[in-house]
Amino acid sequence: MSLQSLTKDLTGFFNQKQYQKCLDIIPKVKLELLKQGLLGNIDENKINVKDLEVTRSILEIGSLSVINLSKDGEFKNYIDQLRPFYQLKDLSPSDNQNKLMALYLLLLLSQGDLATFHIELETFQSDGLTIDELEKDKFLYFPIKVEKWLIDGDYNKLFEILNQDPEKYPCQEFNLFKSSLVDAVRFEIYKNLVKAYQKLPLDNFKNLLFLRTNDDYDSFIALFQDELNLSIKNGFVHLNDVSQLDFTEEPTDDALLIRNVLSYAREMETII
Amino acid sequence: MSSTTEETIPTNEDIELRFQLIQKSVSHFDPRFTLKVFRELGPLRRRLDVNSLLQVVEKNYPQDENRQYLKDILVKLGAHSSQEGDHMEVDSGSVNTVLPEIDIFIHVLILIYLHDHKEIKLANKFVPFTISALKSYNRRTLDYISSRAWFYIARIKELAGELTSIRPDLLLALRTSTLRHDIGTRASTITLLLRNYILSNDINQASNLVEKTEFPEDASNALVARYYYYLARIHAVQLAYSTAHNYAVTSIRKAPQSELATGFLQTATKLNILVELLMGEIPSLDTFRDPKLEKSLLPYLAVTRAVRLGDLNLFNKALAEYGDTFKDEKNYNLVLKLRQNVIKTGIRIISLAYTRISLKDICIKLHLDSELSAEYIVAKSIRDGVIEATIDHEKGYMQSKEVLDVYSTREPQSVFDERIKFCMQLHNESVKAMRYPLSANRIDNKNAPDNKDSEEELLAYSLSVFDDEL
Repeated sequence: MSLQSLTKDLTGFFNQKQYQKCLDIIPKVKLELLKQGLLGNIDENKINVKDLEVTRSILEIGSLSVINLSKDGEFKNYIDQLRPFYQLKDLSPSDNQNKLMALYLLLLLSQGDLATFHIELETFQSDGLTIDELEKDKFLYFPIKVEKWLIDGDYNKLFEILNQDPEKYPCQEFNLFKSSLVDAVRFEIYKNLVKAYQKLPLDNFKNLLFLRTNDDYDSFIALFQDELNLSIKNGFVHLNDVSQLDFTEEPTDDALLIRNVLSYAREMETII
Repeated sequence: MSSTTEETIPTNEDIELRFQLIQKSVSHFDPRFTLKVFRELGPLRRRLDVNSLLQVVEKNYPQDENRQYLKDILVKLGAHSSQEGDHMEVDSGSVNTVLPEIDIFIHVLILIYLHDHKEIKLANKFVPFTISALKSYNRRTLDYISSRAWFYIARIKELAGELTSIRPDLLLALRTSTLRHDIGTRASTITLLLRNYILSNDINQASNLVEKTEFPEDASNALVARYYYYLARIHAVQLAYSTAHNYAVTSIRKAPQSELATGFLQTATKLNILVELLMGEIPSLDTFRDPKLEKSLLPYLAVTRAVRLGDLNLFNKALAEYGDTFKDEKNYNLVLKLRQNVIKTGIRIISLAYTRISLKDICIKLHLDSELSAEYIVAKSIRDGVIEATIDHEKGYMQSKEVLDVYSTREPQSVFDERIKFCMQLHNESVKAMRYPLSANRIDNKNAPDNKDSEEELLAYSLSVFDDEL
């Protein structure tokens, strides 16, 4: 099959949201692209801009397909493949660029990889964009706000935005991260509660964790069964702080002092 | 070489004098003389002119040498050949080959000239010639000169806006210098690459480079200071603030104390201030009072004030006023991240002032949106260790724990221990860094005047280690 007809099939399936079928075709398309020197080591001077734009849109379809099928690892690969295309100044800007980057940032957040998250934000500075300018972008504002509130501990705003009407999301793909983000946030809150409260009425406990229904509560307890450490008595949740009970064996003051002084003495000896 | 003679002798002879030093360095396998040449480059740099450069080129290269381009570029700059009728002619015939060190040194001089006179386009054309000249030699006595050459090459490419195109050459130079144990070039190419990556905001590449390479231990102090500064930057972006702080402090300590390094010191101090603030510490006021830094640190002082008072409105005002400065200095994103620290400091101050305070009051004091927000934020601060407190949810207040007397804990002991260890380490490092004269004087004690000479040389050198040009 020729590249044209393959691409046509691909966009057809993609528009019908048949992502699995897209994935079946993509390897063939990529092979054709490789044969034409449009993938891998690209020689900018030899290839015309239109061809590169087509390659870019094929990769974008691929990345959107894998993310819709929740294949996180493959999605990262696609982002890495797309990156050089976004850096080429000759191509017309792609509508999908910020959307894909926003998705990538959300993925990093849901995996708790904050260091990479911030590294990615820095790269936008090459285009002269600082974080508060990125916040005005209709896709990128979402992950940035989420991260900010996560760090601030402003969780009710976070839940407001996560639980808003799915239609209001800048794009449908953001929904994919909703449940993993919500779980991550709830566990964060729980860890805060453990440190801040000794006991809490059960209802308030549920409220603070945004566990609106009993099903939510049960699934939360089931999900973090191993890590939770709480007991419920008379309608009160007792949060037993493990870290306070866990006394590790430390050398006593005297022993520590002696050891330090001995090491100073050794050093002094070498000086004299 | 006293300063008076430097002013009276013609520039070309001044250059020749340095050639003699380089030759001496090559024949003795002692880098000290080359170091001296570069250390005293300042005055010469200011009075370099094309005519004397051309004279030097004509005198030192044999006629059929394939360095014609050196002459071409100087002639393009408007130099007049003075070969006819000059006493130089006699000399030029007698030169058969040129010492590699001197060859590269002339390249460096031309690069410096082009750089200082803003001839970036010409300089950019000259760079490939220099790179191929550098590649053609493999001599250890060349190390220091070539590390300087790479510095100017990278700087010129940066000014020409061609950050990406120079990377392969720098990487190649790094590989070659690593294989040849060429410490100077290795250290300088690593820092240049890091600078290159950070300038194009490619933090990922930079942190990969740091992971994959080992920075030579005995590189010159100026380079070490740079390297640590870049490390601090990378870690600050990755949110590893305490590591970043350590690196920033090392970088400031290692920075040369001379006038020329003021710019570097300012930049490093700015970064350090931000990192300290991000860690929740308030930098001491005398940092801002240093006369060398005072003026440039004003925007940072404003931010520090806002954070110290925990006043979000003041913070936004500082941001509006100095936003452009922060953007120019590429610190804007870091400053933005400080916003959350403003709230945390606010909470800390409240917790110190009140033993018990209602969440509603906290919410009003910190300009937060709702009581619920306040509750979450306080809980988060407790977990982050910003304050020692508990929350009573039913009655809606925050109860601070009694402040412990620090002197009843092990804290002072451990801080003291840290300081002693630091002093010990400093002593050990100084011992290691000391240089001893070559064993020549032990063998030949009778040669007294020569001895005295080398002693003076050594003294000058050891002084220079501290204010090596950046």
